[in-house]
Amino acid sequence: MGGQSISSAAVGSFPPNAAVHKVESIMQLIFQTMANALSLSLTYVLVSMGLTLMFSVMQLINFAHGELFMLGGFGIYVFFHKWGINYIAAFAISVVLVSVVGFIIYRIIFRPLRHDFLAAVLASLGIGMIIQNGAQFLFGQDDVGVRPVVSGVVDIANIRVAVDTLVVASAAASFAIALVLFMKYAKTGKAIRSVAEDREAASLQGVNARAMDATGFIIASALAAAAGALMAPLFFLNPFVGLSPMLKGFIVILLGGMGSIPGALLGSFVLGFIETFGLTYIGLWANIIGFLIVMLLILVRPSGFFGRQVTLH
Amino acid sequence: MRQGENKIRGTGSENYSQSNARKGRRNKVRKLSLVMACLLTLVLIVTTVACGGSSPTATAVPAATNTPPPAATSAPATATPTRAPTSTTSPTATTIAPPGVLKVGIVAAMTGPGASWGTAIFNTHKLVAERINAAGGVTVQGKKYMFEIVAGDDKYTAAEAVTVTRKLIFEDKVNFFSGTLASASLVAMGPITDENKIIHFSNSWADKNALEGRKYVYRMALTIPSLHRDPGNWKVYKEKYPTFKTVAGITTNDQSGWASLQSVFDSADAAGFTVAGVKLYERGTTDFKPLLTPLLVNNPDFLSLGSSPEGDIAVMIKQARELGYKGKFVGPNVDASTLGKVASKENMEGMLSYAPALKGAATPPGVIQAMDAYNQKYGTTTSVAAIMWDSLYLLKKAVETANSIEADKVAAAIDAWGEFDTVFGKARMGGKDYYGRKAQIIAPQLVSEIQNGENVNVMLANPVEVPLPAKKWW
Repeated sequence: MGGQSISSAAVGSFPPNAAVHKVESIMQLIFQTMANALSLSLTYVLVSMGLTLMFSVMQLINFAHGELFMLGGFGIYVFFHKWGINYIAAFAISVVLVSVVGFIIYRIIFRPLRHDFLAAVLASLGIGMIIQNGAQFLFGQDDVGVRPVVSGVVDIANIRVAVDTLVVASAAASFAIALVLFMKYAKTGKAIRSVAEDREAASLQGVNARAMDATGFIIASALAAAAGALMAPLFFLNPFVGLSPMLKGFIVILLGGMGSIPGALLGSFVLGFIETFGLTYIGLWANIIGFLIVMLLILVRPSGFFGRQVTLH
Repeated sequence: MRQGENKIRGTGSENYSQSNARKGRRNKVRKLSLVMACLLTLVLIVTTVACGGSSPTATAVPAATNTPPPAATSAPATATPTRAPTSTTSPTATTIAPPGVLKVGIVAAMTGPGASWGTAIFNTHKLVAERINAAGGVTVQGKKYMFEIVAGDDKYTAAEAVTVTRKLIFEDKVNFFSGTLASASLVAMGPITDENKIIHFSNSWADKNALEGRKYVYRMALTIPSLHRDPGNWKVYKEKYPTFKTVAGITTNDQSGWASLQSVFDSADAAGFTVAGVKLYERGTTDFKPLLTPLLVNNPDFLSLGSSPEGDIAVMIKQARELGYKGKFVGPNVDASTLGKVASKENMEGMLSYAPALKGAATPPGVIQAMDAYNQKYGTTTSVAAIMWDSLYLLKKAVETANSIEADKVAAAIDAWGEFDTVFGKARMGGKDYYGRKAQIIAPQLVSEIQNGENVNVMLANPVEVPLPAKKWW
C-alpha cells in the first residue's frame, strides 16, 4: 500500500529488523485507518446536517431526505457529466432545483400535516417512493458514474487520501460551520431557532412561523442535494442510493440528539470511527458491534449526546 | 336538559369550537389521504406503463460499438432427436403449457444491483428463442413447439426469487427455467423447481448447496465454480505472471460472494498461489477503504473482486488505486463497456475478467457470432450474450434428444450426452464426483483483460476435472 516496501513474498516472514518493520506497518495501518475514518465521518456530517435541521425546525422526520440526496447526485450527473456544464454551475443548479422540489414537498405534504406526526412521516415515505420510481423512469436502474472533478492522491508519510475525498471533507466541514454560524448569528437562523423553541412566542414577536418552516425545509433540502452532488463523483449513482445515507443520517441524529447540530457533528464522528475501525480490524462483526454500541448509547442517553426532549404532536 | 348534562358536556360554545376544530383536522387528513392515494395510483400506473405492463424491458443501452456487425450466422449445430415411443402424459407442471408453446422462465435481477446482467440474460434468451423459432422451433414426438420467454425480477434476493418462481410455475405455467442469475436465488429456487419436476438451467455461482441433491438443476453457463473443478485458469496465470505469488479477495457476504471466492482461492491454491487475505462486505456498502486498507497492506499480486456488482467494483478499484495498490484486479464477468459507465479507464486497465470479448487472438468464432448478433439486435456488446448463448440451444437439444418435455426423460437424456458444441468450443457435462451427478457444463473458459477500455481475450483455458479439496479460507 502506498510506498510500502513489504513484498508479497514476505507475508508470514519478515526480513531483518522485522520488529521495526512490523511496528511501522501497524502504525501505518492505524494512521491510514484514522484518515479513512475522518473522511467517512465528514461525509456523514454532510448527510446528517439537513435531517438535523429539519427535525430541529419542524420536529418532523422526512423519509424522502435520501431521495433528495439522490436527486442532487443525478443533477450533477445530468448537468456536469452528460451536458458538460461547469461543475460549480452544475452544483448550483442541482441544489436550486432540489430545493424547489423540497419546497413543493413541504407545501403539499408537511405544511398541511404539521400537527399529525404519523401522517407526515407516512406521507414522506410515499413521496420518497414516488421520487425513487420517477428517477428509475428517467434514468433507468443501472449504476452510473460521474467523471471525476479532481484527481490525484495526497501522500503524507505513506498516509494516502484522495484529493476528491479531501474536497468533499472540506466542503462538509465548511457547510457544517456555515450552518452553525447561520443558526447562531444570522437573523433568519435566529428566527428559525425561535420558532423551533416556542412557536407561539415567536409568532407573538412577529416571526412568520410558516415562512421559517419553509425556509428550514428548503435549507435542509439544499444540504441534502449538496451532499448528493458532492459525493456523486466519489461513488456511483442509481435511483436507490439515497437509502443508505438516509439511514446513516438517522443513526447520527439519534446518537447526537434529535435537533442538535453540534450533536449531529459528534454523532457523525462517533459512527464514522466505529464503522471504520470496526471494519478494518474486526470485519463483518463490526456491523453488529457498531449497532450494539449505538443501541447502548441510546439506551444510556435516549436524547442523544446533546439532544432535547421533544413532544411529538 | 337534565341537571348533570351541562357538567359533563361543558358549555355549548366550548363544545362547538372544539368539535369544529376536530372536524377541521379530520377533514384535512381525509383530503390528504385522498391526495396521497391519487398520487400513489398515478405512480403505479406510470410504473406499469414504463415497464411495458408485462416482461421487464431492457435497460437503456449505450451507442453501438464501432465493430461492424457481420451477417447473422446460424447457431452451432445440435444433435437431431432420435425417434422414441410416444410417452404418456404425466400430471406435472411441465405438460400444462398451451399446445405448441414451450415457456421458459428467466429469474434474474431486472432492477437494482445486477440488473445489467439480468436484462442481458433475458435479452439473449429472447434473441436465441427468436432464432430457434424462426428455424422451425423444437420438435417433440413429431410436434413443433415454439419457445416463449417469460421473465421475473428477483431483485437479486432469494425471497423475491421464491415469489417470482412460484408465479412463473403456477400462473405463467412455464415448462423450464434458464439463466438463473443470483446464487441465493438458485439455492432457494432449486427445491421448488425440483418439486415441480421442471428442468432448470442456471448461471449462478452457488456451489455444492445449489446442485448437490437436486435432480433437475444444472449449471449450463460458464461460472467460477466450474473453475473450482479446474485450476486451469490459475495455472495459466502462473505461467503468464511468473513473479506473482499471492492473491487476496474481497466480495459480497452472500452465496454468490462465498462461492466465487471459495473457488478462486481453491483454484489459486492448487496452482501454487498463496492466499493473502479476504474481506467480505454487506451489499449496500459504499466506502470500501476500511476493508481494502488491511487487505492491501501486504500488496497482494492479485486482488480478486469475487462476484461483486459493477458499481461496487468501480468504487473498489478506484479506492484501491488511491490507497496505492499496484497489483492486478481479477474481476467476475466484467464488461468494460458496462463497468466503464461507472469506472475510469485508468482504473480498469489490466483487469482480468471472465467476460468473453470480441477481440483477441484467443477468441473462438462462435463467441464473436453470438456477441455480434446481440449487438445487431440491441445495439450494445455484452459478454453475457456469449455466456448465455448455448443455454436455450442445449435445452432444445435436451428436449429433442429425450423426445419429451418430461423432466425425468430430459434429465436422462442430458446424462447420456457425450461431447457437444458450444460457442466456446467442445464441451461436455461433468461434475459427477463433486455434485453426485453430471450437473455442470465443462467448456473452455475464456479470460479477457481490459485494455484501453475494452475487453480483449488473452487466454482460453481448457477445463480439467480435478478433485479439489474445499479449504476453509475464512
